[in-house]
Amino acid sequence: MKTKKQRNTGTKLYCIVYVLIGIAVLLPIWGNGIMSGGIMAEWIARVKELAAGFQSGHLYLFPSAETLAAGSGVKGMDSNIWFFLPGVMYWWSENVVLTYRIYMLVVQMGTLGAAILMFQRIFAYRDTKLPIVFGVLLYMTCPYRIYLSYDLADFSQTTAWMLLPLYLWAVLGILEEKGKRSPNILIAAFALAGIGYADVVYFLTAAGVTVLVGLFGKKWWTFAAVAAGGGMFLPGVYRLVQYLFLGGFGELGMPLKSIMPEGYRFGQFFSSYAFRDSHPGMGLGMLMCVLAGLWLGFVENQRASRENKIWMILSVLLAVLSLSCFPWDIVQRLGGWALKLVSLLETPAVFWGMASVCLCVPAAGAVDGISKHENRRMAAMIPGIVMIACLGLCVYQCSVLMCQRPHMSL
Amino acid sequence: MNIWHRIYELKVWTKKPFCITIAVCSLLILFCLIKIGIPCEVWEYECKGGLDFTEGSSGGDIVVCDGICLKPGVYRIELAYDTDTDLVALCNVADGTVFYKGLLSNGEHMYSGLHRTGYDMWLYESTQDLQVIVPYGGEGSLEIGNVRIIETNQLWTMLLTGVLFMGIAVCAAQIFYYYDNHFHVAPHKKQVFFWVMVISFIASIPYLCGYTITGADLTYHLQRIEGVKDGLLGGQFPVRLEPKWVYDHGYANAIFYCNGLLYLPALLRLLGFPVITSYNIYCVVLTIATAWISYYCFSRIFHKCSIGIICSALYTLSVFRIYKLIIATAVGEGTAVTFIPLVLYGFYQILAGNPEEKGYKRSWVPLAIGLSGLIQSHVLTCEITAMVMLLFCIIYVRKIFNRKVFYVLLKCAIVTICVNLWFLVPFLDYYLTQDMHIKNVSARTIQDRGLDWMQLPFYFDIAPSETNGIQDAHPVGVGPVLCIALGIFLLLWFAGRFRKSDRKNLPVTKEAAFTKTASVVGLLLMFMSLEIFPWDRIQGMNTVMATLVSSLQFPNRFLGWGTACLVLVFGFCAWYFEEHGRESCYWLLMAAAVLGIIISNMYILDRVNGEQVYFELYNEEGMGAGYISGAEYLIEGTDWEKLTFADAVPGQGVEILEYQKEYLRAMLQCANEGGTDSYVELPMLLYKGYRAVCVETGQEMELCAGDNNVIRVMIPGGFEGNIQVDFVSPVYWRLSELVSVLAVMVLAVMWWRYQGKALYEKSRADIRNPQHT
Repeated sequence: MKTKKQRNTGTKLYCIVYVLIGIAVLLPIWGNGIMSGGIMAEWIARVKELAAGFQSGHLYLFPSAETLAAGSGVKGMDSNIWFFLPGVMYWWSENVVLTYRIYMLVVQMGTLGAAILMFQRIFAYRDTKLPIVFGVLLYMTCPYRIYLSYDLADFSQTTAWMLLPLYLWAVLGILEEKGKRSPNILIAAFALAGIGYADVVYFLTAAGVTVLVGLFGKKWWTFAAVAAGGGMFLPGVYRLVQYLFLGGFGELGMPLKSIMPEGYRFGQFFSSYAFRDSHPGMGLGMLMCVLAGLWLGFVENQRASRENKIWMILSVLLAVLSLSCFPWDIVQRLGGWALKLVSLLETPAVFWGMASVCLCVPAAGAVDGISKHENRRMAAMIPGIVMIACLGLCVYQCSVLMCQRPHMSL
Repeated sequence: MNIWHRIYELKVWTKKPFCITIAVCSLLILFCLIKIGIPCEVWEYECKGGLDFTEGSSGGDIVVCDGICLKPGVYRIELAYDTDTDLVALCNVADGTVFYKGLLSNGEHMYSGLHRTGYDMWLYESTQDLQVIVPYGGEGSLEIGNVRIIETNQLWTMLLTGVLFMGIAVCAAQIFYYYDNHFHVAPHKKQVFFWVMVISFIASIPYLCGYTITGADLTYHLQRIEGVKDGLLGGQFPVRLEPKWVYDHGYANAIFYCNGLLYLPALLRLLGFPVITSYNIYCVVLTIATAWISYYCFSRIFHKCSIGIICSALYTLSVFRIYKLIIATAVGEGTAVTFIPLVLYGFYQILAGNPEEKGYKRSWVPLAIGLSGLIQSHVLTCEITAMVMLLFCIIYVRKIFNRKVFYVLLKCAIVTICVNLWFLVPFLDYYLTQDMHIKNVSARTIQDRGLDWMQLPFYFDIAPSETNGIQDAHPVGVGPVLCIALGIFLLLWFAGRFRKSDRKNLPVTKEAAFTKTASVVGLLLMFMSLEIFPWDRIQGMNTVMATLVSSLQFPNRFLGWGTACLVLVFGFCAWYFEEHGRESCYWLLMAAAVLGIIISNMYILDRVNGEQVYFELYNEEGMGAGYISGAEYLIEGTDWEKLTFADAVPGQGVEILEYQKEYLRAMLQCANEGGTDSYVELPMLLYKGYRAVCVETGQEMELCAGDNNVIRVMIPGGFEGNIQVDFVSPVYWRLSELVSVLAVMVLAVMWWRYQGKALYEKSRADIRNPQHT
């Protein structure tokens, strides 16, 4: 039984880790400019358009075609709702760098908070906070998330990553019947709609996975959450339906293409320091956690819990969807709507990001398992190494970008 | 009870999942066999009219024929053509209707000396709109004929191989699962398996990406694999001359550069796997073998699994191995790295072992296997190994003249020679009796290719070129961990910790004595890899030294052995700390090793995989057939730049009525209408072993070197008939092969008997001492 003093010391340590995580993931915003590259130009164009709209009394829920042209041209389905804050900031300050910094600060801290919430609910039954901290650590320093935030500078997806943990927190509440049902449903719906306004692909995947889990687990209330979320995202759903089935395709001008060449190759899942074709791997920390899990299963004969198995299966399924050999081209042949829908994905790599989210749970559980190993040296060393690896790699990834990417001339 | 009895006792055939696996595999195998049994078809397509282009005409992507309907399979595309240029036009296939990578082919370039393409394509989805296209830029004339598409059953042989492999893997995993549940496999065994496989997996990641990282030597080694495949298809076994290399002229690479281990990827190629798939599988197998062999050797030396594992990680993920096998794609040298630990372990057993011990007389086995592996993979590493052996022998000179030690060494030498005689005899035959270019490269200096000493401990960066000095240099070194271990060892040594008067009063162990030697040898080898080592002076001493030094090409080759010696030193330091109760030092060293592997070795591996240029090659024709690196195995005086695909060339008065060439065999129908002797020159290089026979009379025809050392068949005046030119291995080569086969068989029988005897003794011991069981 832990004493109050021991508990306080533990909490302080965990707080220090959260602060370290915060510092590591915010590293690139302390430079005296905005790193170029990715679709940063599109984001700035969006923010400027919004600010101009505010000035003239217009509200652009979705970006114009000219604004989209500044980026990859395929983000027409992602709304501007989450860019209202930077829009207002820019309108007020006319300082893009400040706007960018504040926006990233809010998003990264929001992600941290949401991740803490989610992992607290997932590991609520554990006797220590260690898996929560490691879950948050793995989620926050996930190389794919860092890639989205600073390399690709896709803030729609970055925002979706902020809302995903909140959504999962609420859905887990519904599934495990924790807390009152109606607030859970309401939060899940809000979060899902928020994800939809941020990035429609994440909305579709999150809703699809929830429906599947609800079906298999016979938890019918999850459908209510999805339906409510869909309802709140009605403008986006309307735009999506128009794009897929009505004449909206021509207006949006989004390209139709095969996405299979953009998929991951198996070996790319395991990269840490460098990657090609915009395919970051799982990173050192996650690799160590996966190895720890395999070790516990194979050498120690420990059986994975049912929840962990579900997360692992989801992770494997999503990872398979992200592979370049997954036949998306055949899926596209189902009809015009399938062709447009798959093109909307832009790259199967998004599924690897989602697979990483799912993998964080069993990985954090594995670290917890190792920390209870009878070999005390190993029990103390491995979580420490994982922590250093996660933070170190995150700092490395950010530093490399900061060194290689010149600042934008604004 | 031995393991097979235990597995039998499990009665796995009564378990439902196992039965399901067997049933599924059997059905798939049956399906593949039926598919393989169905006769293959051939389709002829007439080309669209007007496909004759003269110099300067605009071509673009010429569609030779389209709308071709095919089922999934592996097909051979033959397009008849005539052109007056080489490597300008390319024949390929295209299909916009199949899914991404549903059609794999790199096509084939067109040559003035060839009149028909013959390349493979892999089609994984049914199509109704396959096109045969020829991108043509208007350079030279081009006349395109008809297309032939030949179906092969290789898709099904590939699938069958995959099913068999996966089936065996799944069944083995299931049997292990039941076995572990029933008999409880010892945790340390599972631990070893787990870690060695993790090391293998991490080191194999670049080969699991579906592409191949390109290094300077990749094409050359892919040509070697294709050479073995083509040689086997041409009826040679073992393969001596690669028949299609050097534009169908044949190349004596296999005589000088043993390809014994390349039969695996060549076999995969024969089964239908694309070029890079076969290569990647081979490299994965090699990596797994390296991890297991190094684990075996180092754990045996130090009698500790944990030290074996960490040494295996340091060795398998060593910078030298990454550099050779992945960055430079020096597959031969990378393969040799696999066997160096076995040789080191063999030295240890023979030189550090006690000749009076019971098992001593069998201590030649690892050394013989290791040396055989080296001979089979890389001759230059053998040269370096011979030098290292000499150094060890000098240091252990007193021990060598012990009768038992000498007997074991002699046995090792005899066995190694006998097992490898099939390669050594042709090698020496050609080297001693033929004027090969390799014998005339002694002017090439190597000292300027040496390393800066700062490169030895640091290895964090990669660069596109290899230069002197540390700037922009490749990561060639041994790395900080091994340097630290060497430093610690030397510190302990000079502090007198290995003396008998050690304060712990522990005796001098054979491990310490052997590691001292290894550290000295390691230091010397590191020194030899540097640019300050006087290679140029040694080269200038005499012709023998000049040839030997020049053939080394790169002084960094010494770091292969250097790495092995330093890994041994690392293992010893860890072992020493553990044995002497210095737990904190032991753990610090282990932590340094793990840290070094994570931030340095894995870093290089990742950066190479993420940033170095790669390519995806499916059919061999896509890489051409002309690259021969330094052209070392050509006959001296051959100008390889003049060699290209060609027809037979008749001498004055000779008319060639018919000519056919396949692999190393040429059939010729000709007539010499003149009264004097004349000749026909064939597009084949005149290596020792070729024979020309008149088919009608059986009379042997005279062969001599023609223009640029091609085969010139002398045709007597008034001759008319058929001549067959063929490569036939001399009888003494065949005898050497027989000796090797017999040696391997004798060794196998001996091993079998030894296993039986060991099992018998173990069971008797179990009966005597059941509690122990």
